Amino acid sequence: MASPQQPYTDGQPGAGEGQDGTYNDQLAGSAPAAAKKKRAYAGQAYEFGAGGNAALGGQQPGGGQFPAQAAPAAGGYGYPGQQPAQGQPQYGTPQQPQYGDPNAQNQAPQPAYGQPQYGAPQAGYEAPAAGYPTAPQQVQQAGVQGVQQQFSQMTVGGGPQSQQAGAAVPQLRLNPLRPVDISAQGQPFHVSDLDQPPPALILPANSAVTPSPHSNCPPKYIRSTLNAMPATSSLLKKSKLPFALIIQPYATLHDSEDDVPVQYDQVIARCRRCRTYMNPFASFLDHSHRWRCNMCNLTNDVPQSFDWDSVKQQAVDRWQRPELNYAVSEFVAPQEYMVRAPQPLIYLFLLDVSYAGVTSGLLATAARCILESLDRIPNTDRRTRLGFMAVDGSLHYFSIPRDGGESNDAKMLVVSDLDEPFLPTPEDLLVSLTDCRANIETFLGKLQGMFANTQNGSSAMGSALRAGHKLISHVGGKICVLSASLPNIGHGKLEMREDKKVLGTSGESKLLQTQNAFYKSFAVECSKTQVSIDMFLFSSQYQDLASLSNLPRYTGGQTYFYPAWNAARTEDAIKFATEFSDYLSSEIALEAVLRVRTTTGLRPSAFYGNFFNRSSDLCAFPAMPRDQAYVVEIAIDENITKAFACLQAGVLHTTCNGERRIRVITVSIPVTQILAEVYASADQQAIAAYYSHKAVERALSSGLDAARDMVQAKMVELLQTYKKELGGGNMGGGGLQFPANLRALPMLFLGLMKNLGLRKSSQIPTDLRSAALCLLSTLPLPLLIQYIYPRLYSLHDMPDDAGLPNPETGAIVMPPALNLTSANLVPFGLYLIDDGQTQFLWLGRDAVPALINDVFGTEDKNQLKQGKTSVPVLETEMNERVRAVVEKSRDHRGKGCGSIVVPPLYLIREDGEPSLRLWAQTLLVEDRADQGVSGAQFLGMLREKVLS
Amino acid sequence: MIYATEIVRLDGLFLVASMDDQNQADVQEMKQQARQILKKLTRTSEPRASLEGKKHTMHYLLNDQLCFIAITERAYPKKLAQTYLADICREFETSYPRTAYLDPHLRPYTYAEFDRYIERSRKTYQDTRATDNLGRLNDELKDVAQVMTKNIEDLLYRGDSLEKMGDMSSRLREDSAKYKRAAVRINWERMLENWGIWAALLLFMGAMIYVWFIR
Repeated sequence: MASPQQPYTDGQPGAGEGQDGTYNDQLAGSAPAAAKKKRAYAGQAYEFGAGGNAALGGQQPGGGQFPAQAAPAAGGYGYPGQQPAQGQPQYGTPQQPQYGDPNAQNQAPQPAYGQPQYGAPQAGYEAPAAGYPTAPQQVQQAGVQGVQQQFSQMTVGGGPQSQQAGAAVPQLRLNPLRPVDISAQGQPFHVSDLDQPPPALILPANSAVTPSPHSNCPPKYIRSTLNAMPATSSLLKKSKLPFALIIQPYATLHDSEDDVPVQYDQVIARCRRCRTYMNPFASFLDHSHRWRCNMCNLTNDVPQSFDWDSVKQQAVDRWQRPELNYAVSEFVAPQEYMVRAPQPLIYLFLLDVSYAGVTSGLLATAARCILESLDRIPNTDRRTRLGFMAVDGSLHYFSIPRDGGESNDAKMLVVSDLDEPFLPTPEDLLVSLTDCRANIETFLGKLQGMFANTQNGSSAMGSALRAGHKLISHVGGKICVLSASLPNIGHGKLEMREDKKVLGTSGESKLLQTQNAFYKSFAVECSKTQVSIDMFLFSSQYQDLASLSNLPRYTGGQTYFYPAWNAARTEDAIKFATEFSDYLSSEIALEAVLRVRTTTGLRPSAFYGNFFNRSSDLCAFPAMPRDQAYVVEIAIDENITKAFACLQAGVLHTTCNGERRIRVITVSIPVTQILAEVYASADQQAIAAYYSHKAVERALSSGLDAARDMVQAKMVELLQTYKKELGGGNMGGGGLQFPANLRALPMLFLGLMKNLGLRKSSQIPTDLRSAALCLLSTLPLPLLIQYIYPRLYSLHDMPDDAGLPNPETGAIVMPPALNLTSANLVPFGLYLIDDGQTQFLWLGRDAVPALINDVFGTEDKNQLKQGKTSVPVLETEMNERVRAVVEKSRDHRGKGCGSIVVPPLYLIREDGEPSLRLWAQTLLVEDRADQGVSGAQFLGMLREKVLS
Repeated sequence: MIYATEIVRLDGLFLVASMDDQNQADVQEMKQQARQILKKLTRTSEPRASLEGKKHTMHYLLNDQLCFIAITERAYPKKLAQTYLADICREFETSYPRTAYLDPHLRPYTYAEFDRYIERSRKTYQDTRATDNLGRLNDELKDVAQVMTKNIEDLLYRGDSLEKMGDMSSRLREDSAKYKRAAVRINWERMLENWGIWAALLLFMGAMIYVWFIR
């Protein structure tokens, strides 16, 4: 039978006739009987006549003649048009599932064709479930009329594809190379370049088995650094570009906000050899009884239940299966994918009750926040369990009885043995949220009072982690550490090692490394027992983030740092409470593993992100958060001869409602032999993200200087390569040529080098640096780009529609972003600078009182509180719009990623507190500051190096 | 001490399994054996049985399409374990409609939330000497008078020994055929060894005579 990718472009003689006697026959004109019948339809088609039908009568692919009609219809209709061969028997005669039966075809071939749903565009592709089952009855009424309409649609659907195929077969047109002069004299980078979508993934026509618009992966989930990959490793080497995938398996914190189709029937087709999951790029052959793996070309059997529901005893339509229509889909895993029952969600809170933890208000805020978030913690299967431990110089366990028992009070059990921490009682330390809800609430209410008068300054967090691990290791789960002091006794004790004199020198790199081997070995131990650790750190003094952040790094967790946090400041308290509550509510995946499978010849070669590499290509996540991205570098081992290569990321995980699922994300990337096409399809943001991960690794292993040098050398190398290989003779005027799609790269690299984590400076405390490095290696791509190249909005001269909801979408319209240079800041202006982690409201020196009054409600700017603040709520229109912009700038969902972070807002007066002003100015990446060069200088330097 | 509890449909689908037993290696081993036993169980199998392993005992109770399994320490009273299983069974079947848990499209571990009940009743059955439990034992003694007790190894490898016999006999037959062929060959070789020279000599002489005298 004709393979589905080429339904009727070439008809495949000998396969088409008996089987799908409708269309191919007609084109070929080989079977007289069938052709006669067909001609009759064609005639009728003329009578009812409209565009598509006429095309059919003319016996050629219709789209060529009627592109205007074909184009809008293609999305909805393309489906049947492409699948006449396989689709027909099932649609038509549900009682006769066998494919090869020509009689079934001849009796009622066309009427069966699923007219009802294809006829109505709105019911077409998006809601496939509605149509098929009802087909037989409606067919009766539809009759001949229906038949001809189907034909018209078939043609319309098929049209654009065959047209494309005809045009594109000899030479596939990839993205064209558009060189521009990126130096200041030419067309330099503008911040709006960062809003451009990545270069399109242009695949040959019909490369997917269904013409679904979702068959290739949207950039939200996977972005490739090269959207046209080189066919050979020598070409890749020659290009000097990296080839890596930025994988973000989840785009939101909650499933309800992100619509990923789920296949519930537990039938999972996988390649026997390479274990690839069925995806839209697989192909069917041999009467659709077998399928060919698009990774390794092995032919596999199609599971019977693809076409036949053995329980209901009826045919099912395989073309509705999500894995054939969507590049991102989920399977409910059958029993073979479980070694034990899916683990319940477990949160163990380790609360710091030392002097610093209590006096900063951390204990009180955390207890209250947990108490108020109990309803938000995912608990649909009512198995969620919570545990609490308090830590100072000794370990305090809390045994919470079940609701409705004799006693409702939690018992505190204190263990002072820190070397061999043990569990004082086997029961009631880890309690069911459902069964003990009331007592947990009582306990949380009282918790703060229990330690109100503590004077204990020591913290045995290492020992507490060991004890906590013992408590939950039999099941696995999340340990959530909230601490405001340096662990200074017991296991993993750390010393105050920061020395102001060392900062900014080569000795600094040692401070960014782990101080105590405990934090690495223990992290690996946790990963093995499915325990994940998250750190919420609040210290105002040195807390050694460099050591502590190792635990989240290898266990799929995250380090959240709130420097000098104090609950007495409302903004601090609100920020932490909001974030922590979102953190508790997010639907994390448990006991997850990620594996990337690729077309033969490719190989995942390096992995970056917060997880543990269990074997050469298996990344293990005791818990997979929804607000992180991972980078997988791909090596080319053999030459790729296909037109496009596929890469598939599979995440096997347990949802927090106890379901075992597999999320499969497939991306197909066209292959090219031409260097220019590689450059023309390179994705600058993905490349920046890749080098951000790489720079963090380099910074941790061999120091900040090495990391910065690597980034800068890479930029020079790319420009040189481009000049040498592709620059050609058009170097007039001494400009700096680079492809338009990579124009932002120099500024992104400059931003990376000037980022808090990598900047050359002797003023940055180690903890802040470590926290920034954690962010640079975990943030999802949109937030990462914003973190290295912050957004600058001018608020005093916003366009009229900015700050107001868009009349169509309802989303707040943002003012146009500006490049990050102080040349864009006028002294009478009001600006918002937002790097995703902090927001600055910049008030110019000469701001007019009217503006200040409209926004802040006071005429005198000296009365404005500088530093952490919030915009007061006023009635004025300007105030509302400013608040809307500030709020919208925090919206992660609009950016296509999830994150719990609520950036605090700082008010900066240009003539006010100098330290605050200097801080805000460090975000102006294109300015000259401290020991960093300005954007123009950087470009000039690059140019010198490239031209010399 | 009851270590693990599982509720499995007879077609092999796990409905519930307790979670709090992961770190004992030998309990895991027992669970593996329980899985093998499960494959052999049908609706007509013995409805209650206690199968003894080295350190632990596996108790099961068949009811309708469901199999309730408990793994306990070896010294745990068998009858108490059966009472425990009957308790679990009663609760499960009243909690969920039969049509729901027999649905062929059910995903594994659908009723994981039932673990909470298991956990609760496990605690009441924990102490084998508690007067409460003794009373319960007496009450239900007559119900569970006949519990089949077997060694788990016997059950697991019973089929194996038969297969082994079959293997052995077929190997014997093959071997004997081989020996027969070998014997024939050896006979031939010996005959050649004894008479070969003479036969060759005779033939040679005959040929000489033929050449010299007849030609």
